[in-house]
Formats: sequence, structure tokens, C-alpha cells
Amino acid sequence: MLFNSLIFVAFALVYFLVSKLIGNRLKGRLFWLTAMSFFFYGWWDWRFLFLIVFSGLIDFSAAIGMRRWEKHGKFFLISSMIANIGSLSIFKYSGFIAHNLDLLFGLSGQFSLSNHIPEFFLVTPVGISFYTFQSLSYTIDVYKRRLEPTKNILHFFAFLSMFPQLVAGPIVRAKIMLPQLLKVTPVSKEGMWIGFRFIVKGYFKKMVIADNLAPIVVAAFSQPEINQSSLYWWGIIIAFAFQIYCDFAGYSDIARGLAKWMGYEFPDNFNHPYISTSLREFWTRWHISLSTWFRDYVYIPLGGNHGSKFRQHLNLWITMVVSGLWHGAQWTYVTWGALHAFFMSFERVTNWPDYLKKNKILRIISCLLVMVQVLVAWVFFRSESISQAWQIVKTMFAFTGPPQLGWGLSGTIFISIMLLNEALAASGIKEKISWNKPIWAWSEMIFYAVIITVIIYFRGNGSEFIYFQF
Amino acid sequence: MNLSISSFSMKQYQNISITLIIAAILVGVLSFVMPKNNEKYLGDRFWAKKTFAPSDYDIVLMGDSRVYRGLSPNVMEVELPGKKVFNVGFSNGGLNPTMFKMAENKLAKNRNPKVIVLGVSPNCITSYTQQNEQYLQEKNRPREDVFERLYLNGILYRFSSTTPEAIKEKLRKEPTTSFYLNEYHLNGYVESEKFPVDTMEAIPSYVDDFTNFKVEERYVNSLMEQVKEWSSREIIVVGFRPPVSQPMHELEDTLGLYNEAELAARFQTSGGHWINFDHARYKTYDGSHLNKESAVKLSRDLAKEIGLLIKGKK
Repeated sequence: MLFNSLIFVAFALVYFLVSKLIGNRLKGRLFWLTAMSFFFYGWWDWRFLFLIVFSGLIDFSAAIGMRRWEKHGKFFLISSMIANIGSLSIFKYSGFIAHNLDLLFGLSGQFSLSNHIPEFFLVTPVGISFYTFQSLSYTIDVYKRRLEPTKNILHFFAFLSMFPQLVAGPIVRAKIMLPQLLKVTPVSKEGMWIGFRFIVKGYFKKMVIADNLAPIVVAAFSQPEINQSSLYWWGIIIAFAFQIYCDFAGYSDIARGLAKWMGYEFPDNFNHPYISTSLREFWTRWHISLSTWFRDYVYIPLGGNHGSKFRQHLNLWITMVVSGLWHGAQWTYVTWGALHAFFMSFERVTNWPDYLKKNKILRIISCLLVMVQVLVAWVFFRSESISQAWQIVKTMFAFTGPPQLGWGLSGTIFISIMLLNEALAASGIKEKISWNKPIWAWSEMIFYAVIITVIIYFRGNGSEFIYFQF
Repeated sequence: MNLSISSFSMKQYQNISITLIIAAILVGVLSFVMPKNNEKYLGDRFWAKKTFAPSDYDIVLMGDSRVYRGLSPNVMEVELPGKKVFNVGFSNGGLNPTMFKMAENKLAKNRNPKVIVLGVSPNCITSYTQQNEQYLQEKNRPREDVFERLYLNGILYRFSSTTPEAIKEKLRKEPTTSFYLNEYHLNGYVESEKFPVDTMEAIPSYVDDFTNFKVEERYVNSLMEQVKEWSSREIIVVGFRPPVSQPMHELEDTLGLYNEAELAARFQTSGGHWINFDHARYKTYDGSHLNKESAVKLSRDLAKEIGLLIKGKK
């Protein structure tokens, strides 16, 4: 069920109406949230429910086992990790692994491993990477004693399957979410208004910006021959950068808004990533819930910033490559992760962003340099193959061909809106406005009414959110 | 309710309601001036209604785009008072068991006589059209999409999504030098017109089609079997060749291997009624599809023939 579908609007109405009737009864609330979340997820394919229930039951039991038989904590942790990473490997990576082993050992025909994978394993359940990571963080935190396990199975499944963030994040940690689920927080009118603003902004980003940029990007990448204009590809990659940003940030905003209406708080997942003045800063602004997950559960356990310089760089590379692989079972994603690792290693060695912090102009240059690196990496992320990506990158830096951007009027308008939005964020004007003044409050309501009107009349062709595939 | 700025407070008023009211006013006003997307909303609703129409008709018209652009149930109902007519023509609609079953399902179970009209274009009896792609695509659509198309598209059309390009085009107000009219009727008919008219336009694509796909005996046999089977159950089966331009007619006979005389004879032997129309009386806009004036004429002519068949005078 997509947030941008009419069936979801009906689903949300039923959810909130019945929640109102349930009121403050905690058991009822947890049951209703879990049941509706399962319904939401099962709408795609009911068979996927078995997987989430299976991995959930293992983690729920493993966490309890860790406390009851403390000496065997490690056994329970490893069981949970095998179950989670195992199901992720089977459903997401079996095709990729088999294909690469076939290539490596020259296997084909009846000896080909790819031909022996059961068809069902080749269907990646929607959002599997998100809920697997969420579930993993629970058992790891219980094992590390950062969290006490819940003994209420409804409580656990309400956390694991919570529909606003189930399929595309943000990845909300158990230690943040589990305590919230045990409290009944009345939603104030102000909270409703804040949630409403998140939802409207989210739909605008997804339906107006991302969905209108999508056809431009799809058309460019599906051409059999690479367009030979450098400016064209810079334009297309900028369009893709805003498409993926608005697609994903839009989903996160809607999720946060819905959570707010339900009485819960989700952490911020995006914070104007394209105004970053260093790659390190970029990763504190882009997909924050995932980058902090990797920091806490991969980078730091590997040693983080401790140990030799080489070891620190190695930790960074491992984390970024695994992050690339998390996005998809393709070499293009792995390369994307490796490129970010390379740029960040270079940044650490040279410390170049520090030299460009002295004044506004240098900061703008710094921001542009970061943007160029992010854009180059996006080429690999979006391309169908490494060879296509490589050809595009070569064209981008050849600085040849006709001066055409390939955006059209729609692309130009929607990208300009986003550039203006980012410029306003960078200038800090947004923060300076005191929204509580009556004049601004009225302006704000008119502003959101206009945004709703724009969503209705300029919605692009509805499509799935990009991050569902991850 | 005091909404003066000085007394305004975030907590005092229902901001969401006010915002939604302002948005509703804006959306409502703009609905009168914004460009509309006929194809996306009314077109999609049209195909969904056609696919999921109930079993409620006395006369069902089946075939390909020549049928759904060439036969108007409204016109036929005027000529055949008391009869309910429905057009189940689909793009590249083949004449095969899947489509026969679909067409028969639209007939009212408890009313007689039942009539099935087959527009036997050469294309319908080649392997090119046996996949029934458009029909199956509509039939297999996710349930929520079907619901949206059937029941909400009529409203959503008022609030069609648009693009800056479409608005720019509308603001230009330059005189129209070309158009392609597709007016979707919920009885399965598409009123069509194109300007400028080019009666040779469709020829190249049909040359391609008939080079690769000819009329095949097995599909003709399957058609005749069905005609026999329907006739044995006292369903009146009517067949005709949808009118096309003279060059198209020749192309179909030569390259497509369409033998109308033999087909008509076999159709009659199988228990059906073959109607010959004088193709010169009807005009197409692209060589393949009738313009709306000729579609009305053909519908009237066909209805008169069916009227005679129903009364047993033919």
C-alpha cells in the first residue's frame, strides 16, 4: 500500500477513527496498531507476512533468552543475527551471489547456480532491509544492555511492524520507540498541525518534485546510446539528486507526520543534505537513521576512530561498502558506497573542507565541491551497469557537446523550487522567521493551502517510492 | 469565530480545517480553468467500465478498434427501441475464446433474443491479436486501481493533474491547426475525429503488421466453431467487415490474405448472418477508422439489419 494512493487515505481514516474509539486502552492500541500494520504490509503480498513474523518471533524470543540465560547471551545474539542476515541474504542477495559465483567459476547451463535458486527467493519482500535492521538493533541493544527486552509480544510487533515507517524508514531504534509505545500521549492541536505540515510537505516532495523529475531521469538512463552532451548529464544527475532526495525525504516526512498524529515521535531523517560543506557533514544530513545505524552497529564495533590511521580508513571503507550493498545487490551500489568511502578518506587525509570555512564564498565553493562528489557517486547509484555509469561520468567531465540541460520547462521549475528551498535553508532565513507571530501563522496556513493545491494539480504519475526496493 | 489577526493563536483555532477550507476554495476555483486530461481519467474509466460491465445487454458488439470507434450503441438503441446495446471492442482485440467468453458474459441472462455482433477485421484473425493484451491488462489490474478508475476517475477528471508545459500551451491561445478527438462514451464507443485527415496514415503500420502476420486458417476455424456453438443456443450471430478506405481494403486482401467472400460463406454455413456494407459510403480519417459521422451512419445501417433479423424478416 503506497502513501500516495487513495486506498492508503481510506486505510489511514479507518486507523485513526478506530484509534479514537479505542482511546487510552494500551492493549487495544497495541493490538490495533499491529493488526493494521500487518494489513498494510500484507496488501503487497500476504506471503511476506510470514517472513516478518518469523524474524520478529526469533528476535523477541532471543532477547528474552538473553536475560533468562545470561551465560548464553552470545548464542541468542548469534541466532538472531543468523536469522536476520540469513533471510536478508536469501531474499535479497541470493541471485547476486549466485550470479557472481557463476561468473567467477564459469558455471553455466545446468551447473549454473543462478538457475537453481527457487523462484520465490528471487522476489525481494518490500522494505526487508529496513525492518531487518530495526529488529537487529533491538537484539544487539538488549545484548549490550542498552535496553531491557519487552515481554509483551504485541508491544514488540507494534514496534517492529509500525506501518508509517515499516517499508522505507526512518529506521527507529527500539530504545526510542518501545518506551513511546507504552505511553498514551494525547496529541495536542499544535502537534496535529505540525504533523499536518510534515504530511503536506512529504506529499509535495514525493508527488510534485520526485514524480515529475522521474520521467526525465528514466528517459535519460533508458536511452540505448549515451547522450554526448556534458551539460545534459550534469542536468540529469542534478534532476536525479533531487528526485531521490524528495522521494525518500518525502516518505520520511509523511511517516513523521503520521507518527505525530498517532502520538509518537520519529527522529529527523533528512536535513538539507545538499547544503553540506563536507562529505562528513553530508552523512549527518542524509538518511540520518541509516547512517547512524551503520555508525553504531558497524563502524564503532569495527573500531571506529580508534587504532591506526590505516585501520580507521579501513573501518570507514568497510562501513560504506556494506552500506552500498545494503541498498541493493548490484555492483553499482557497491561502487557508490566505495566512492563515498574514497571521497571521505581523501577528505580525512587532506582536511580540505577546513581550508574553505573562512568566509561565505569559500563555504559556497566547499558546498559545490561536495555536491560534485555526491553527484558523481549518484551516477553509479542510478545507472543500469558500471559500464553505463563510467560512460556517463566520462561524458560529464569531457565538457563537450551541445549546451542542453534536458530538463524541459517542468524540470527547470521543479529543480529551481528545490534549489531555492536549499538556498533558504543554507542562508538560515527559515530559522529567523518567528512562525508564532499571527501574521506568519496566517501566511503559513495560506502557504500550506497553496501547496495542497499544487499537489492536486501538479502531481506526477504516481509511482512507488524508490527506497521500497531496498 | 473571531479570526482577526490580533486574536489569533495557534492553539485557539483549527489550523488544519482553515488550511483545508482555503485549499478547497483554491482547488475548486482552479478546476474551471486548469487543463483537463481526457485520456488519463475518462479514457481509463472507459476501459475499466468496458471490462467490468455487467451482464445486462441484449446486443453486444465485439472486435477491435474499428468496432469501438465505428459503432455507437446510442445510435443503435434509437433504431432498436427497447434493446440495450454495448460495445466491447478492444484495441487489437482478437476473435478468440477469451474474447468470445468475455462478450457473451455481457449478454443479459434472462432476456431474448440475444445478439452478438462480430466486426471481423483481418487483424482479429491473425496471431498478432491473439494475446488480447489490452483486455487482459485491464482485467488483471490491481483491485484498487480498478475501483479508482470505475468510481473516482469521473471526479478526479475535474482535478486533472497537469504540467507547466500544458499550462503554457493553454495560455498561448494559438488557433488549433490539428486535433485528435477521442470522446469516450460509457457504452464502449469512442467518438473519433482527426484533423487534418490523412487516409493513408495507417497504411505503413498495417504493411508492417501484414508482412509478419497473415489471416490464419486456425483462427478462422475457431471463429466458425464459436459461431456454430452460439447459433445452436439460438444466439443471433452477426458478422461484417468493418469499412475501411479502398487502399486499406486492397492491402488486407492481398498482403493480409483476407478472403471476405469465403469467410462470409463459411460464416453463413456456421449459422451466422453476414452483412455486406458498401465501404464507399463511409469515410475514415486515417484509412482504418471511421470518422464520427460515418460511425453514426454505420451504426444506423447495422441496427436496421439487426432489427430485420430480430423480427425474422431476413
